[in-house]
Amino acid sequence: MIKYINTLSNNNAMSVSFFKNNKKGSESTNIIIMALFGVVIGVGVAYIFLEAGKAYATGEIFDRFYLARDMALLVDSVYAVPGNIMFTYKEDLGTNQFSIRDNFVTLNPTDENKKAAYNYVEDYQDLEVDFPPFQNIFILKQGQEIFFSDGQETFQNRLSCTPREMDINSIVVEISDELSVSMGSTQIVEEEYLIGVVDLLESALERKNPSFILPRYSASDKKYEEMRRDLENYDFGLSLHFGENEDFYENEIIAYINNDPDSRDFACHILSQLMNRGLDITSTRIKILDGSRLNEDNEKYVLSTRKNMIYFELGNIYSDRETNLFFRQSDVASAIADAVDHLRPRTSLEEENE
Amino acid sequence: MNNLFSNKKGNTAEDTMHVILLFFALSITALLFILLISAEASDKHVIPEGVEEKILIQRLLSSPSCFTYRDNVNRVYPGIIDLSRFNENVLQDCFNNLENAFAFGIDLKVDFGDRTERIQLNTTNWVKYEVSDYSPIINVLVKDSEQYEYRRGELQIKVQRKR
Repeated sequence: MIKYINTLSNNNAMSVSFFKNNKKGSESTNIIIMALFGVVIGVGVAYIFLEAGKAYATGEIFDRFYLARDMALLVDSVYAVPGNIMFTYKEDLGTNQFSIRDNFVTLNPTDENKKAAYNYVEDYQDLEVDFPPFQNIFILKQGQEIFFSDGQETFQNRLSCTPREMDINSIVVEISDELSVSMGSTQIVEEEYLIGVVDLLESALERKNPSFILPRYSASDKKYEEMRRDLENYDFGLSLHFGENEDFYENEIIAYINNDPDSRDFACHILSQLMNRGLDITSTRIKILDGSRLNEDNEKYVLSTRKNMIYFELGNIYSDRETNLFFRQSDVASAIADAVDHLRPRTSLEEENE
Repeated sequence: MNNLFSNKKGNTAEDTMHVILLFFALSITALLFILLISAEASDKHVIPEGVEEKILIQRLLSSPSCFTYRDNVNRVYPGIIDLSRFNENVLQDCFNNLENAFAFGIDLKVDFGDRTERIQLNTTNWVKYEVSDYSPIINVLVKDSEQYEYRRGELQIKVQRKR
């Protein structure tokens, strides 16, 4: 027992001596810590100087301020344009992120060290746009609205939707096929949908103009010929279909037209009306028929008919994307009817009432 | 340095203070350096005076969101003021949230032949007794929607910079 106590007291003596040594050593430890801290701070400051110098020398920092101001001026200028405009922003954005919202064009909004901002003046439309680095920027102003996109394709042919007057009192409508027992279930769904659209279109047009003529044909060979002859008697031709794209993931509403201004403007107004009903701008296209897109028969058919003809593809039934196929029939029908009404010339009395 | 790293009792606290002050001074210098470079970069690309104001005034005269006359098919007629749209609500639609940029005071005189009428509009951030930085007078046509006639008009647009 005594031996054990001695051992303990020896241990205590050792620990006291250890702490004494440690007290002396703590000063040198402090110095080492301070020296290390100094090295870290020194390296940090040197890095900051180096980066700032590099940004200055390469002009990066100037580019950011330049780009922010340039884009802010551009947005203000686009607002001031009376008509429609499509603009391709050609400055190299490099690694900078772009954000246009809350009256500010901001570069790299999440990185305080690389942030640069300048304000523009919004109108009633709240812009909310974000672009990742290395993107092209395309700007479209149509009517009173401004759209931004990273691809010009989105806006192609949309600018031709110019205000004008067109007196359309009759439209001949063609839908793919008559329902028959030999059809597959997909085809039946498509055909029923299209028949529903034409039924609703008929009543919508009748409400606006009781004398409106809307004959319909099915795309059987025999009736194609009949329609082709008949089409000359009507102001316009509409051919309603579902997508025949080889890429089933594409699911846009596409208006194929011959290259004539009447069809282009009518198609453009129909698509605009669809956009008013919630169709996304990126989901619409107007394409000039060039012999490469549609299957041969359809293309030949549409091209061989008179010039005032629009071939509408209303989405793709196989698409996995949020589908336009079931874009409500009533919306498709009323969009077409409203486009007809929108283009109609007004009498001075109507103009006065409006 | 000898003093800084001396092991003499009593000097340690003082030395620590020196080192902290040195680090603090270094950090402040680095920050100032960054701020100076940013400020210089910001001043390097100055938009020429009057350009922004001119663009915004152009919006007043040309944009379909502003006072510009539009016909029944929404065709816009730049330079023609629609009298029925010349009001505070349209001005608000045209310039939403000008707070930190510019203030506008707009004065339209319309010649009705037998009389001249004057309509004044201001944006909400307009300060009445502050001097305008820019105030062009523009001759315009005014579409009188009640009479279906065009009148001669004179538009003075006063701009105050708020930046």
